[in-house]
Amino acid sequence: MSVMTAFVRAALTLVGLTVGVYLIEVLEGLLTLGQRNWRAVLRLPLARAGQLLRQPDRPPAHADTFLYQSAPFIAVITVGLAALVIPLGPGLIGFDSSVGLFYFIVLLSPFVIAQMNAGWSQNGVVGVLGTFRAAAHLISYEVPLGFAAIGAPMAAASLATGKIVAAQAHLWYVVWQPLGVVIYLVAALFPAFRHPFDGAYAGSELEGGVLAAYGGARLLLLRWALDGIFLLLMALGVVLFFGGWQGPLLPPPVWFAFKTLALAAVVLALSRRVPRLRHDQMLSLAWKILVPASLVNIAIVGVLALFVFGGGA
Amino acid sequence: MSGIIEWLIFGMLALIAVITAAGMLVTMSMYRAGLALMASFVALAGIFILLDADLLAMIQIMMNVGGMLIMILVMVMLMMDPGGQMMWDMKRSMHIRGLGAFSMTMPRGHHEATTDAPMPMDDHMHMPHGEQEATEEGADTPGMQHGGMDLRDGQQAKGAMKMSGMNAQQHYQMLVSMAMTTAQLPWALVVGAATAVALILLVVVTPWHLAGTAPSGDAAAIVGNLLLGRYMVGFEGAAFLIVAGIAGAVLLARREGSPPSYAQSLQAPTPAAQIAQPTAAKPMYTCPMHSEVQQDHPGKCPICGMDLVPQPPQRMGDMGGEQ
Repeated sequence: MSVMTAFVRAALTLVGLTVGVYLIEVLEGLLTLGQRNWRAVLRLPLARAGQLLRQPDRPPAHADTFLYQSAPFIAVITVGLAALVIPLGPGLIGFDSSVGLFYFIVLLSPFVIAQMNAGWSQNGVVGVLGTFRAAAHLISYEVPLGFAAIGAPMAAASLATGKIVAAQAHLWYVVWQPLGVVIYLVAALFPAFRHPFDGAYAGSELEGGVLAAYGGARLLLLRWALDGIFLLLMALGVVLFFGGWQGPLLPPPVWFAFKTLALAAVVLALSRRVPRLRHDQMLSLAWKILVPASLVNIAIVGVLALFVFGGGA
Repeated sequence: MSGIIEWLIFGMLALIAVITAAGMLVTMSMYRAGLALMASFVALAGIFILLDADLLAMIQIMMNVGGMLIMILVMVMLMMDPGGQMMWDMKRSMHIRGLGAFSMTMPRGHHEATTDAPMPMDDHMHMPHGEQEATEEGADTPGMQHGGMDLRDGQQAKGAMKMSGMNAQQHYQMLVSMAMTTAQLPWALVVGAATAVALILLVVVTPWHLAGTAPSGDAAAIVGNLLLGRYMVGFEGAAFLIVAGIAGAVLLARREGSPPSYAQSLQAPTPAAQIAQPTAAKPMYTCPMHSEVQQDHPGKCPICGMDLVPQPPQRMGDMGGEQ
């Protein structure tokens, strides 16, 4: 792969992610403002972005300037790197690693670390509280998310995301791994800091928490990364359980985009109905319910994959 | 062409790994130190990727980012000054030179030869500048217990001495205890550099057996087959040990198994308290609102009608005051 191709791929990834982020914002706007206001909803993300771009961005007094300034970029770079292993179609993948799924899940931790840096570097109370809560998120999501996601590679006998999709040609894994899907989708909201688990931001309580002192373009980057990681987690959910790009008639990338947005819409709509969970409740949920449930899921999937669905390799 | 790029990437990653490792040593902020260590390990993971060992690289990132995170959390919770702001301010106000937390030069005063006792504050405060300068020159005698420190910077010490009112030895001890300076640092640097040179020489000189085959594509599959095939016993044994460790940790962390907490120790009467107050074993009942109401059986308060609650036994500290 020449250097030019790498640059083109990186640029395409960022453009695609930006479009996806815009669509996520639109989805959220539709759920918040209602479908009647769709014109406003379509304009709102762009207006917000334009407003943030015109805003000055000054670090607060006594901030850890290096961490403060670098945190949004770490978050964005992590999201961009994680996007590389999502297959949009057969062969349409940024980086076809043999350990693609593992690569994605590993890259989630630097993303959360970037959020922690953003909160810590502000030298403010709400930011540091946000940092601690983000750390609680990192401790919560890693095990259940990994254990839930592992059902798919167990059945497909590969960690490569493209092969996992190809193995679902006949039957999507959601059909016989429903428990894994539920655990995955709940745990995916932790590192994405989405609504019931957004304690690190907690608009009404922490005044933005991690994002409190940010403004201007850096805030835009952090918001972009937050929406981007949510989009990617939904896309990975489609890859793992909903057959990825596969579907009749339409070209594969269209199917993939449609499935991802549909899954995101369902998750966003359902998660709005739950009140925000405190960080200790979140930790209890993760360790006392999701982890044992995901172990049960692994056992069920193992038996099914071995005896019912013929096993992998 | 691609060979040059590989060398460039390798050099960049190696530089990042070394610089961040050094940054971990010299920074004053615990948080930054943990992050620097994390960055160093991530740069090493990049080198693994360069060697086509992507599985190893991912494991490296996952284990170290998580591990360092826990380390940072523990340090932030336990340390007095995890961000390093206080130490940094102190260092600046004392005019101690050097990188970050570890200053190469020990601040040096002018009374270390004469006495170990702390000097009165007024002496320092009111000493004319020139006189201090002169005394300092005179006191700079060899044979002090400085263990090979560099004693160049007399100027910087004066600000500190004026502020603190300690003699040099005490001042040094204070700085060491705050990890702002250490006499052993130059030696540590020399030993570290020598070790690094020796290791590099060892790597260069050793006649390595090169496999000559290209690395295989799907490392995860091979490792998985090996773990559940040839190394099954060791793998399962390790898993069993880890489960035993987790169970043991849970057992230790349980309230029943652990030594009584501070709150419990206040509640439960100690043997000493029982000897001193034989009646302490028998609970007294009192009204939450009217402490003068006391009786030895539960009931209602005659004043307000509330349920009486057991009165906590008297604390050791209170009794000590009475005796």
